Amino acid sequence: MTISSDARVKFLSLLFLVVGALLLARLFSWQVLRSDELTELARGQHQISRAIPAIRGSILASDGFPLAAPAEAWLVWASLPDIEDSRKVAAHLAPILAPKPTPIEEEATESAIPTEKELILAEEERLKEILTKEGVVWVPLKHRVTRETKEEIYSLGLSGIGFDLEESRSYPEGTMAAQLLGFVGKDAAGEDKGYFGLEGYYDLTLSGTRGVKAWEKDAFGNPILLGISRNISSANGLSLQTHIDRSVQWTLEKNLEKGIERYGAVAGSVVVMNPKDGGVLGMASWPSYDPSRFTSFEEEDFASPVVGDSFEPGSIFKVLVMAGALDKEVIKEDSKCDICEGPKRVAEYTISTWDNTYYPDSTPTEIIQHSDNVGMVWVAESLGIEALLDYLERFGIGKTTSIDLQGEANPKLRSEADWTTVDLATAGFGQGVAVTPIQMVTAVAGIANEGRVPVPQVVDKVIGVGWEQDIKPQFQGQAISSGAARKITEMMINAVESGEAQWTRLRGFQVAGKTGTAQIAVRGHYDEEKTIASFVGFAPADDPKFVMLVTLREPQSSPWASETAAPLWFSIANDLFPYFGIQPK
Amino acid sequence: MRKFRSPVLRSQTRRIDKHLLFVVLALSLFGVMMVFNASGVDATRNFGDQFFFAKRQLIWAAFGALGLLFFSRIPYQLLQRFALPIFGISLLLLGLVLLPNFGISSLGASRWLEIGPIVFQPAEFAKLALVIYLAAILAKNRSLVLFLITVGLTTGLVLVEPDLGTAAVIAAIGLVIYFVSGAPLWYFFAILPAALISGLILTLTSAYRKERLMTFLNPEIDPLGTSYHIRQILIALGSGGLFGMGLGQSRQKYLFLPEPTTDSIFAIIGEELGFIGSAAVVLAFIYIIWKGFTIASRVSDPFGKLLAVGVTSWIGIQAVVNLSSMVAFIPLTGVPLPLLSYGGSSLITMLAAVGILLNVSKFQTAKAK
Repeated sequence: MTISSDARVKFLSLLFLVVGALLLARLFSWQVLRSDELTELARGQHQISRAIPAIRGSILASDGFPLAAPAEAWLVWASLPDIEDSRKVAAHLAPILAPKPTPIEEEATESAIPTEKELILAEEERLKEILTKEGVVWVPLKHRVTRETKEEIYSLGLSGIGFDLEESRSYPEGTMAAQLLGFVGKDAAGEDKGYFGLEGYYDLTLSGTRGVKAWEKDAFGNPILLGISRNISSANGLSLQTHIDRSVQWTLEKNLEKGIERYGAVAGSVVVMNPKDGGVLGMASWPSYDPSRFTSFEEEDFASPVVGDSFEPGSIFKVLVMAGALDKEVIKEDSKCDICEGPKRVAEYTISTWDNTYYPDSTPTEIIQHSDNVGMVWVAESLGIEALLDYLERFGIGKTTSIDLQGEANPKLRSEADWTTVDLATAGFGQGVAVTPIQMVTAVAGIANEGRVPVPQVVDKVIGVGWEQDIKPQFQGQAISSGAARKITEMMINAVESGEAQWTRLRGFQVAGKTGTAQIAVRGHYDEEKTIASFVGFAPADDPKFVMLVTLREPQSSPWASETAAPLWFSIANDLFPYFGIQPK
Repeated sequence: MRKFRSPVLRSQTRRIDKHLLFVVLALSLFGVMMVFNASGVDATRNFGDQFFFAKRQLIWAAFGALGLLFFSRIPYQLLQRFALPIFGISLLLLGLVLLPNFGISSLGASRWLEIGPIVFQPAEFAKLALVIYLAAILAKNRSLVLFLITVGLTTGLVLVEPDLGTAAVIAAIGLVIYFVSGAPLWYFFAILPAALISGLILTLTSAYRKERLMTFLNPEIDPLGTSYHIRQILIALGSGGLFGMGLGQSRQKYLFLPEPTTDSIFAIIGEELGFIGSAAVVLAFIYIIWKGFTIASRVSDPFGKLLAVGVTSWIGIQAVVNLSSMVAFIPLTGVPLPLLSYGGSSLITMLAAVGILLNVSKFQTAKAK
C-alpha cells in the first residue's frame, strides 16, 4: 500500500471529525440555545387544561335576602354518533326545550307573537338541523335548562343525549329591581359576564377567579400515566349586600306602575335614597325587563333611566339655584324681587311665568312657592354665571355621581365661556341644562343632609367566605352651609304646604319638596304638549329619613307635575312613612 | 499463500482492540435500554407488553454479539477467499426481495425477506457483502469497471425496492473504499458529481422524496403534515435541554414522535438525556470512527486495510446521515442509527462487521512511520 493510501485514511478521519464537530454544534443549538422555545412548543402539545368555574356571587337586599343568586342549571348536549334517530329525538325534545310564550311579549306585540305550537315547531327544526350536522361529534343543544327539564329529558332515555352542570342566575324576587341588578350574559369569548347595573359594575367582584386543572396527554389526548398534573382551585365570586330595601323597592315598583297607568305616562322612574349616607334604598323604572330572559327585550330597556337618561329638570332645579344664592348671600330671606312685576326680557327672549301671573316684590320663599320663573331669573342674575356654575358643580351637576352602577350617563354643562345671559336666565328655572335623575336626587340629598352632598351607593357590604367588608359612605363635599340648607328647606316646606301641589300633600307630615314640569325639547324647540313631570322632596324635613325623586315622561292626564308626579310622590311617601316609623305630628 | 505471509508478523499485537470492543458493546446495550424507553408506550398499546420491542432487540444484540465473537476469531483473510460467494448470495437475496413470493411489502416498498421464521432486510447484509467483496477485489487491482459494476449492481437492486437512503449509504461506502484503495483522484471529480446528480434526479422524480426535500427546504409548511416528523424530532431534542428530562421521562414518545425506536431513536435520547447524553452518543461514534481508521492505517495488508476502512465508513456514514437528518442538516432519509436503532438485520450485521474490524485490529503494526 502506498503512503498516499494512509494519507487518504487520515483525510477521512479528519473529515468525520469536522462533520462530528458540526453535528455537536448544531445539537447544542437545538438542545441548549433554542431549548426554551422548543420546550414551549412541547408543552403546548403535551398539556391540556380545563377551567374550573368559579361560582358567581349573590346580590342581596339589605335584609340579606337574595335578589340575584347562582343557581344550578344544565347544558343539554348530544353525541351525534350515538343518536339513533335524529328526527325522533328532535320531536321528543322540542316540546320540552321550546321557549314558552310569555305574557309580557304578548302584551307588547300581539300579532307578531308566535303561538306555543309555532315555537315548538321552530325548536324541532332547530334541533333537527343541529342533530344532522356533518363532521362534528359533540354538539350543545341547549344551555341553562333547569334541573326539572333535565330530569324530564333524562326520563325519556334517549341515547346520545347527555348533560353537563352549568351555572345560571336565579332571581328569587322575579323582576324586582331588574335594571338595578343588570344581568349576566356571555362575552365575546363565551364566558359569563355581567352587563349593566350591579352585575356590570361589580362584574370582577362577583365573578371570582376561575381555577385551572392541567395535565399531560398523549397524541390521542389520553392522559399519560407518569404525567404531571396541576390544580389551581377556583376562588368563588364575592356577594354584595345592597342598601336596597325589599319593602321600599316593592312599594316603588307597585306605585310606579299604578302611576304610569293612572297618568298615562310613556315612561317613569322613581328613586329613594338615604340622604345621610347616600345609600340607595330603592330604584324603579318603567318600562323594565326580566333579567332571567334578557334576550327577549330591547337593549334600551336594560340600563336604568335613573342613571342612564338625562332630562331637562325644569322647576325642581330652582331649589339648587336658590340654595346657591342663599349660601352666597347675594339673596337674603327678606330680599325683594325687583323685576317680578311682569314678563322679563333677556336679549331677544321674553321670559314669563308658567301661569302668566306675576307677583311684584316677591321674597325668595314666594318665588319657590309660586315656582316663579321671572323671580328665578332675578336670583340667577344676582348670582352671576361664575357663581352659578360653581354651585352647580358643588351639587354634583355636570359630572357623574360615581354611583356603583354600570351605565351612568354624564350630561356635561357648557363651559363657562359659552354661557350667555340667556343661558344664565333659563338655568335659573332649570331649562337649558341636563341632569340625570340620580344627579338631581343626590343634589337634593345634599340639601337634606345640611349641605353635605353624598355619593350615592347601592352596595353596602362586600361579603366573602367568613368575612365581610363595609363600603363606607362617601361625600362629594359641602355644597352649601348648613344655614343655607335650612333656609332652602324651609322654602321647600312652604312650597309643599302652600304651592300648587298643596292639595295632594299629606297632612301632619313635614315634607320639603318641589314640583318640576319641563317641556321636552324636540329639534331645538320645546314641544308644548310633551313634558317631563317631576317631584323631588325629602321627609321628615327636620330629620330626613329619605329623599325621593319621581319623574314621569309625557303624562297624558295633565302636563303639570302638580297633578301627576306630585300625587305619585305622596302616595309612595304615604307607604314609606309608617315603614320608616315616621309619625304624623 | 500470499495472505498468510504477512510481512508485519513480528510486530503484530495479536490482541483485539478492547477499548473499541467496550464502546461498541456499551452502545449496543444502551441501544436496548433506549429502545425499551422509546417503545414502551407503543408496545403496551399494540402488543400489551411494554418489553415487546426491547426483548427482541436484546435477543438480536445477543446474536450480534455471537456474530462479533465469531468474526473476530476466524482469520479475516478467509473472507477474501469467500468474498465472491458472499457477494453472490447478497445479490441473490436482493433479487429475491423483489419477488412477491418472498418479499414483504409495506408502505409501498419491498425491503423485507421472509425465509422460514426469519425476517430480515437483505440490504443490511448487502452492505457487509459489498464491504468484503470490494475490499477483496480492490486489494488486488483497482479496476474502475469492476468497482462500478459491483457498486452499481448492489445500489441498483436496493434502489428498486425502493430505498434511496440505503442505496446512497451503500454507494458512499463503496466510494470510500475505492478512494482509500488508491484510485486516481480525478476519477472522483467525475464520479461524485454524477452520483449527486443522479441522487437529485431520483429525489425529484419521486413524489414523497420531493415532498421531504421541500419540507426540508421550507420547514414551516404544513406542520401537521409533511413537516410533522422533523418538527417532533426538534421538539424532542429541544425539550431535553442540557440535562434531559430523565431516563424514561420522554413525553414525545407518547405517540407524538413517529418512528421513536428506529430512525428517530436519537431524538428520544436527546429528550431524556439532554445535550449531555446526545453529545456523548455523537462522541462515541466519533471515537469508533477514529479508532476504525486508525486500525486501517496501521494494518499493512491491503485487504485488511480496506476491510477496516469499509466497516468504519459504514458505521460513520450511516451515523452521520441519521444524525444529520435528526438535527435538520439534511432531509429525513429513513436510515437507522447504527447499533442503537431498533432492528435485527441492522444490529446483527453491524456487530458482525465490528467483529471483522476487531479481527483486523489484531494485525496492527506498532506505529513505525
